[in-house]
Amino acid sequence: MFKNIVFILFLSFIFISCEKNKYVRTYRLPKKSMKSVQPEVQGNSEFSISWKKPRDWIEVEGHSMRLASFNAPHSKGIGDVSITTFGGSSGGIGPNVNRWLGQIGLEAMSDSDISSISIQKVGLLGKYSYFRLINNADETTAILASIFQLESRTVFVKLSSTLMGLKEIESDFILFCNSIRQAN
Amino acid sequence: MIILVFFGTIAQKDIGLYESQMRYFSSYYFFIGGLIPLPGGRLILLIMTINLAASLFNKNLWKIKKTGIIIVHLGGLLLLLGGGVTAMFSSEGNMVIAEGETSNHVDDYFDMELAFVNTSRNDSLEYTVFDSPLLKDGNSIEYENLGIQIDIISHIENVRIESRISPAESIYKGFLKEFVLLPKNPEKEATQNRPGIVIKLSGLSSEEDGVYGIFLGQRTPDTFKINENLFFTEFRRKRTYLPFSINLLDFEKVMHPGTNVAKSYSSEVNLVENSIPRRILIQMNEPLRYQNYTFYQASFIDGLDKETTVLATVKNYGRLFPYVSSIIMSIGLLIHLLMSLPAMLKKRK
Repeated sequence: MFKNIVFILFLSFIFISCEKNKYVRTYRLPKKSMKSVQPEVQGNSEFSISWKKPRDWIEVEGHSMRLASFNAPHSKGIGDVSITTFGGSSGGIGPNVNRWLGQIGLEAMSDSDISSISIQKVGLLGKYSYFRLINNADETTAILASIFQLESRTVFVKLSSTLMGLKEIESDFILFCNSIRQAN
Repeated sequence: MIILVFFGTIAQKDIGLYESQMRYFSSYYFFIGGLIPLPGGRLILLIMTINLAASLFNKNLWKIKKTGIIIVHLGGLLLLLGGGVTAMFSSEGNMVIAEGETSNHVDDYFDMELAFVNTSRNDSLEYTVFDSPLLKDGNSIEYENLGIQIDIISHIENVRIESRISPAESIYKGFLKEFVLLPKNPEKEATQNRPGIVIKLSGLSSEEDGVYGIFLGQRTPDTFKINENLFFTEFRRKRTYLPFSINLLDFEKVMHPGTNVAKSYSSEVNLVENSIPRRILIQMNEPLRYQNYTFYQASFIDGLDKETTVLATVKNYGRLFPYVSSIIMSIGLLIHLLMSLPAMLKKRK
């Protein structure tokens, strides 16, 4: 009797041990596009940057001033993401933020008010100022923007979308901004 | 059984169909008001099966005149066994295919898996996938093939993502440097939840060892290196690969006039096996049945430039049991009727 019990316990132990491997599988699949995890490079000979874009963003032809443009889908439409870069300070943070505030129907702000709404973040390209521009009276357009003030150049990354879309895309946008780095 | 159906049906209103099914019908027991234990659907059906099987050992049953009754009992037993096979081995999920694209996998509705994807091979992606039983809070997985240890810090049924208000500690990596994953009340329909998982990875490098957060539908995956190979992680619905693929040629929908309500929709697909395509139309109430899988036209997603079909996919080895057992029981009843008929007629005379 005792022998039988030991035998059953031994068998149970073997089966329990086998169980764990059952839950781990490995397999290979042919590679499709891996753009989402591999940096893409854009720019010219003097300044080029690379980034890691969210996998469902689609790079599209944009305005000639833009370094790159993306369609960023959300559940009710698409957001427009742009990267632009200019030599020097390009007017500084204040005028650019006020221009965007005007685009969403808000009054211009003073430099001190702008610095109070700016959030300082650090990405691979360096420190940048991050803005969340929302007009609560008009939810059809809202803007997220990041401004990288480099030594001799400024990089602007901007997302325009509905307020709801902006909330959905915001985490992707911040990670996208963080992933931007100098390529040369 | 009546009590079970009563509570299960009432509960659907508050906790949704899936949770109700799990709590009352796919369980062995449940508590009313958190106090009174009652047997769940599985236990009741198990007892019924044992009871029915035990009745076959009744010596009084094994007589020629009770042949019909024996056959009815066997049919009933087969029906219950079929229910068991369905409960244990069937799987449900959906297949999402955009027009012009091909898919060969089904995503489970509820089960999740954590995938580590090695992108460093030239021609293929190598997936190492950990199933949900390993992804329980506090579980530690030492996976020697990759030389890493994965500690499950929390597996969250439904997450909400919040930006950090202060800089993260250095132990947090990737996505968690900027955001936190917080638990959110589960949605009424479980498929609406966005599950997430927080894991601690050890064995990468001193810079990359740390805590990572991954959630369903994450569009920017965290990347890290294991033995100089670039990996990314995915927390996704459990994926089952099929021995064939389905290519969506065209999706058509007809709306009720003047509304956004679909009247009917259909998917024209190529079922491709061994590079041989076969054109099939899947539409509402006309599913595609192939190799134990059934593909129902369930839903669709309107896209910017193309439409996407959603096929509810069921794999059920027990699909034929109800049909076969119903035939057996009907034959049993017929035999019993025919054998009882002379005696009944004699009585009447």
